[in-house]
Amino acid sequence: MKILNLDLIAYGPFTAKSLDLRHATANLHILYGPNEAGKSCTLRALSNALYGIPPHTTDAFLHPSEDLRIGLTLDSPHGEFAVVRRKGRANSLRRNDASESIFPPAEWAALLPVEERELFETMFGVDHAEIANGGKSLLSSGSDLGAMLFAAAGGVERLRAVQVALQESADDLYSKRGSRPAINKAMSALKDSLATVKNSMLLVNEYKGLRDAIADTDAQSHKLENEISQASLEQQRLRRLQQASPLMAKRRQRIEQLKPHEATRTLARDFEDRYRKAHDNPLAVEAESKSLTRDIESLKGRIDTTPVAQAILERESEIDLLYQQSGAVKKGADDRVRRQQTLDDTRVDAVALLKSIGGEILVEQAAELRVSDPIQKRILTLGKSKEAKELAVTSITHDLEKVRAEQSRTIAERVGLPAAVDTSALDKALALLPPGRDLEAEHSSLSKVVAAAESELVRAVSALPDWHGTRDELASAAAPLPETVSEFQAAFLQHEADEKGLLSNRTKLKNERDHVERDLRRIEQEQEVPTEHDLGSSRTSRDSQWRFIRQAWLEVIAVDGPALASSFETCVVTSDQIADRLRREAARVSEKAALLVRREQLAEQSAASDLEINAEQRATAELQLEWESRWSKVGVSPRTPTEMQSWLLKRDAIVKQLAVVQQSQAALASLQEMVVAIRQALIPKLEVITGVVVDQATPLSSLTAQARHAVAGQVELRQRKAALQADEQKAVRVIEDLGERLRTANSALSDWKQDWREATADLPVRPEASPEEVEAALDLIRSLMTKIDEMEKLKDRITKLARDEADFTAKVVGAVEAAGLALQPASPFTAIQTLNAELQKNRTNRDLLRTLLGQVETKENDLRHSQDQIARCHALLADLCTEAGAADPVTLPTLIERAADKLAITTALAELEDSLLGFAAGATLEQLAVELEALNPDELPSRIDGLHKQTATLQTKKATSHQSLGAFRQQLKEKETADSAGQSADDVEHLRSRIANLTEEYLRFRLAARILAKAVDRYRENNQGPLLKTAAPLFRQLTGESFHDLQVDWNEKSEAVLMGIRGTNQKHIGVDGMSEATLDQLFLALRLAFVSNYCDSKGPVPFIADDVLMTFDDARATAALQALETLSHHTQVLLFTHHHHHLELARQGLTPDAYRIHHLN
Amino acid sequence: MFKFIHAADLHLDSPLRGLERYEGAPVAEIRGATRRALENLVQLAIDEAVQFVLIAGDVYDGDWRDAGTGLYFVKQMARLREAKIPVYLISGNHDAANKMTRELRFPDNVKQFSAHKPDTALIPELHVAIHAQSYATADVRDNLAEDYPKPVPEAFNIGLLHTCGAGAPGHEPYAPCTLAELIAKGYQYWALGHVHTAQALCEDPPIVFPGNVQGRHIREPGPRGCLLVSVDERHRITREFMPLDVLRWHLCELDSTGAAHTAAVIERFVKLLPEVLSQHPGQTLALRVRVSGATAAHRKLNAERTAFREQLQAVGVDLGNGAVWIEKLVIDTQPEGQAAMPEGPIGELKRYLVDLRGNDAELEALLKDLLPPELQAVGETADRLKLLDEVEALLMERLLGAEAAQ
Repeated sequence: MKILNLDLIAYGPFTAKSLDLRHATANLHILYGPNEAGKSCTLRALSNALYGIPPHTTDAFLHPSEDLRIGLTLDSPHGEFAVVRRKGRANSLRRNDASESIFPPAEWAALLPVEERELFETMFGVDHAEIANGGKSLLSSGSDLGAMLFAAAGGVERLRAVQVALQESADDLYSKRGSRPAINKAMSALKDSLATVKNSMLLVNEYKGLRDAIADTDAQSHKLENEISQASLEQQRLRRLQQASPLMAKRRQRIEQLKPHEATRTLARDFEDRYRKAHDNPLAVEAESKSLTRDIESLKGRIDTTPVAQAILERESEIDLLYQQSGAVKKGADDRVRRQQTLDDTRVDAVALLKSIGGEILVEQAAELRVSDPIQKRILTLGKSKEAKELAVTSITHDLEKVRAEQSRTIAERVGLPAAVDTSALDKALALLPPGRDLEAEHSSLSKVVAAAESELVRAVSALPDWHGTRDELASAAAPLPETVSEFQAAFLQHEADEKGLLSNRTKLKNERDHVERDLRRIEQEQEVPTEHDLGSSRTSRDSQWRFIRQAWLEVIAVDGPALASSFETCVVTSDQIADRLRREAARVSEKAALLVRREQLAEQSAASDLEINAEQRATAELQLEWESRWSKVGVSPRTPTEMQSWLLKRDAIVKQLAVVQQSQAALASLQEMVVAIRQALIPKLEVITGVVVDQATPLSSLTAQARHAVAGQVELRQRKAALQADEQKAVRVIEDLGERLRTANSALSDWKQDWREATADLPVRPEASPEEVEAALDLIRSLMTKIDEMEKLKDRITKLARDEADFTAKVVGAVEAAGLALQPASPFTAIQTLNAELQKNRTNRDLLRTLLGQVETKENDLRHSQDQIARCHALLADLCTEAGAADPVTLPTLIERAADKLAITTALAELEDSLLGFAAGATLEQLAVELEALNPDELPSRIDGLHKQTATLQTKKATSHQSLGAFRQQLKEKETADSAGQSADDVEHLRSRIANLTEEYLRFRLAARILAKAVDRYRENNQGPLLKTAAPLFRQLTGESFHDLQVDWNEKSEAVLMGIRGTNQKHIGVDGMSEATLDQLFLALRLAFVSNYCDSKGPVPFIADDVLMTFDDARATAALQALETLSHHTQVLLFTHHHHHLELARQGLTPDAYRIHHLN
Repeated sequence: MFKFIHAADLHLDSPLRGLERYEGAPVAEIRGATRRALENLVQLAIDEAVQFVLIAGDVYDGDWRDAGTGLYFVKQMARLREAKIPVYLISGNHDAANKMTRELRFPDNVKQFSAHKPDTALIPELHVAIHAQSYATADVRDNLAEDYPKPVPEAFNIGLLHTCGAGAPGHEPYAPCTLAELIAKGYQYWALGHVHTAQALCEDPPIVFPGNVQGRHIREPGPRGCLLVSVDERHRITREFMPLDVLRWHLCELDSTGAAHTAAVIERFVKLLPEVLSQHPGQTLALRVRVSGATAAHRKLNAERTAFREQLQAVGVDLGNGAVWIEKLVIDTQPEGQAAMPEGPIGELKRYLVDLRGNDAELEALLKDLLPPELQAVGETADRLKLLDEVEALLMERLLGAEAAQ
């Protein structure tokens, strides 16, 4: 994949910014932009174009989110695709053509090197931070070569951090001996909770034990209660009998005392009281009767001395009414006086108002002046409209005068203006000048451009390498076409590659031959291995000897028998031994045979290889001759095709520049001609109009300005005259119109005056009176009418009050006469006061008389009652004698005394028996007497004391039993009401769930760490060789050949470790011995090697380096640039930088045709 | 006409499993959930003024040793006695295993049937005959129903039985019997217990499991309670399921398909949760949230699952009005698109993971000794392939994610 175009149509700060990354030779693109130029934004745009714009982008500050557009043209193995990326989750990618159709996401995904954005950025992007971190990560990887390669190759510079973080996450969850990690804590809490569950459980046996204990204790308590109850009952019985014993003795005594009273009559309980009342009452009643008689006499005397006037009392209500009215009548009399005063004052005001109006009539006739409301309203309306009528006349008159004055001024100005001149000739001359151009300035500017281009052209020609001819010769020289050069370049590269391949092959062959030789030597050194040839030789020798022996034997030839026999035997033994060894050591034999065959093959292949190399070298030499002959016509000794491509480009640029210079010169001459022609046309016409001779040295721009000014002056004059004429005509029309309006206004004013006179005719004002005067007169009339109305009301009121007063006086006089009082003539108010006082006095005497009469009646009733009472007492005494069986009331006191004695003894006996029944507990007195007889009273106290002690002991036992019962019940209740074990079990489950969840988490972290470690190891095993092979030359390049190789060594723990090889003495330096800068370079070398290998096997993918040179010094930056150029031979490389200085380094250190610089701003 | 309640499998004081406590979780609300469910049962019986209550076994767990649990049950039965509601009870496999069963003394309104032979309890005023037999041991493999008495003529006959029926997945095959056998008995109603999910084996006559009164883990989701059964003069039966559960288990499927980031997934949960809550008004819920679908947030969800779970819990606390417990977060998402196998280290890692999925022996070797002995049990139950998916997402996020880029 290769990016051909990145179009920032609307993205970040960019609008319609296009980056053309399509170039024939340059595959390293340096995208330069200072800070704030949008470098990071461009980087994001590239990634977003490939993988979509994320929902929350920071690049939508100039263009709204929905308007963001990134164009991208890609070259892929499937062809060239031009698309536009928009923002959105779906259908955000469209074809960049007229149809703008949606680019199917699946097809797009197939074009991308990897599916995930992060993976793409990780694998094919690098920035300075990653390099710095990467260097450190190499160091932190220690001896772990796998981790080193994994991190560096994949761009996963955080590998070590991820591994550590996974371990830490796991350690935070669980530690074998710790107490702080979450799982350890939860397990400890679980242990506690399990203990709580156990403690809060009421086990079945425990429950059963408690229940049985409660039942036993309860039964025990009941038994004790029974015993206590028995003892208490006996104790109570003995106490009862103890108390009954003396009472029984007293009972016997009372029965003896009652015997002498058997004949005594029992009297009723109230007998004595009744006797006392009948005997004592008559004495007291007599004294009371005398006192009552005296009181009656005294009251009758007081009645006779109390006088009452009936005449006055008969008129009681009339006098009360008059007295009540007197206050109101008195107040009315005072009010009448005040109102009369007000009436007089109002009349004075009315007379004064009448005078102001100017009326010559009396106040009583003033009502005739009243003006009705409609007439008042008409007068006021007319008065208000007067000002408007007058103002209309004044205003129109004023306008008429103003328009007439303006008309005169306009005529005067028009007559005073000069006559206009014709400017058409001057206009034509001005039309020769092209609009919007400054010909003289253009001429001057173009002259400078031509001079500069000329100078650049001269510089470029002299700077063209190996060229000594003129520039025209250069333009006409028949140089080979770029395609030809490319063909040669390809051919040279092919030859170079072929030769390299052949040389490599020869080296391999040599190595293998060395190897075979070494193996052969090894086999031979172990013990010489016989060959079939050895066996054949031995057998040939044996057979030859045998033939000789046979011949000697058959032909009886004299030979040295023993010696021959010995030699023959040796041959036979040797042959057998060789044959045996060949059989026994067949494997070694065959290995040796194979090695020998291989050696021969290799020798042949080496010879063939040498021949091929020679042929290749000859072909290369021929190609070089052909190359040089192509350039001989140009007169240039050719350098390499790559350089000559650059040479051709430079020559093309010069030729183009030459054409530009020549065109510019022609344009310059044309401009000069135009200037002269325009000047010649302008000057005479201008002089005619202005009447002034023009200086020939005046610049064209100034001439043009003067001419335009003259033409504009004439146009303005003509326009002014036309405007004045139009104004005059307009004034005539306005004057006519105003005259008409003035006449109408005057007519309206005279109509108004007629109406006014008619309306005010009946008013006491002069006929010409103004509206203000009339309004003042109307106000006065209104005030006068108000006064007149007030006077009428006052008069009515005064008359009514006087009438009320006279009525009252007449009634008072009538009342006094009827009462028969001789009063001196005075005001009715004094008379009523006196009459009222007399009434009150008579009322008091009448009430006193009524009271005295009531008292006399009461006393007389009491006296009659006392006399009845004395008679009743005498009758009662007679009844009592009959009841007691007495002949005379005198014996009654003795009989009463005897009856009382008998009653006292009987009552005491009954009380005793009542008490004894209280101790009998339901039995009769006789049964009680029998029970007492059975006891010895002296034993009772000791028996009662014994029972008391027994009860106390039983009570103590019962209390203890109750206490135990309470304790057991409390224990059971506590167990029942305590937080149930079930609730504690909830806590246990919460903790178990927590432990399970945390353990799952812990398992993930631990497994992730193990899997990552395994993957790292696998990556090393599979990629170590190819990666280091590519990385080594890059490392050499990056370190400025300070290091010249990378190798894998084994440390004392038999772990593979990476070594940098330095210096002529091949010193092995581990990563821990490398400087920080070298580590960064090593990381970059591994990173670039990975990308290079990837692109070689999977096809090119653009590699993006963001400010990677930022912290490098010049030498390192140049080396890095060159390494990137090396990578650009494998894939497209985009280097973003904000250091202008790096551009200079690129110019100095890179092959000119290998890179391109793009400016972002 | 009369009404009764048919309940079973109270499993009193059996703890709720799988709930890890966190700030804002309704801990107090669900404390003693099985007891609260029983209280709800008793209250329902009182409110509905039912004539009797049937409990078809398993009042408590077999291995539970706290007599307090039994005393608590007795107290609740006493509440029913005050309301003059008799209870007919059989012991199931769990009760039979528990020592408590022999020691507890029930109030006189509770009739516990004998374990020696089937017995019949008559309720003369209702013309109801209840036939039942308790379990004598935990492991009853005999067909108890076989010996149940013949129906009492003219009466409404109820068979009270703790059984697996013809066999139910996840339940021990205790007191097995066939549907045909039960129908053949000629009873009007079979009140069964043992299977925890409410279900009717037959509608005429009703042969039903009411399910347990309180779900105890996520495998017992949905409403749990009892059956309120009404029988009219002609023995026509209507039954109504009455939920009693204090905490309800619910599997909440959260589809993350197409979500661009974790925040978008959270937003979806914010929209989903009120819908779930409206399906269970006024109910405290334990939610297992299963996130599925292909999403760009796949890696992030796996790598930052703790933070994600905490965010879900916060949403639950916020919108759940103190009535939502996020029981567990299960991430079953997939990455968007088919992840290719790129060259290079990351590709090597991916290839290794692919190899592991097909190589049980190597995976086992990797897992060996990863967990300390006391935590081994968790590792053994883990789904190996899912574990590899999670680990892959975790590794990719850590190696390539935004944090890695910083």
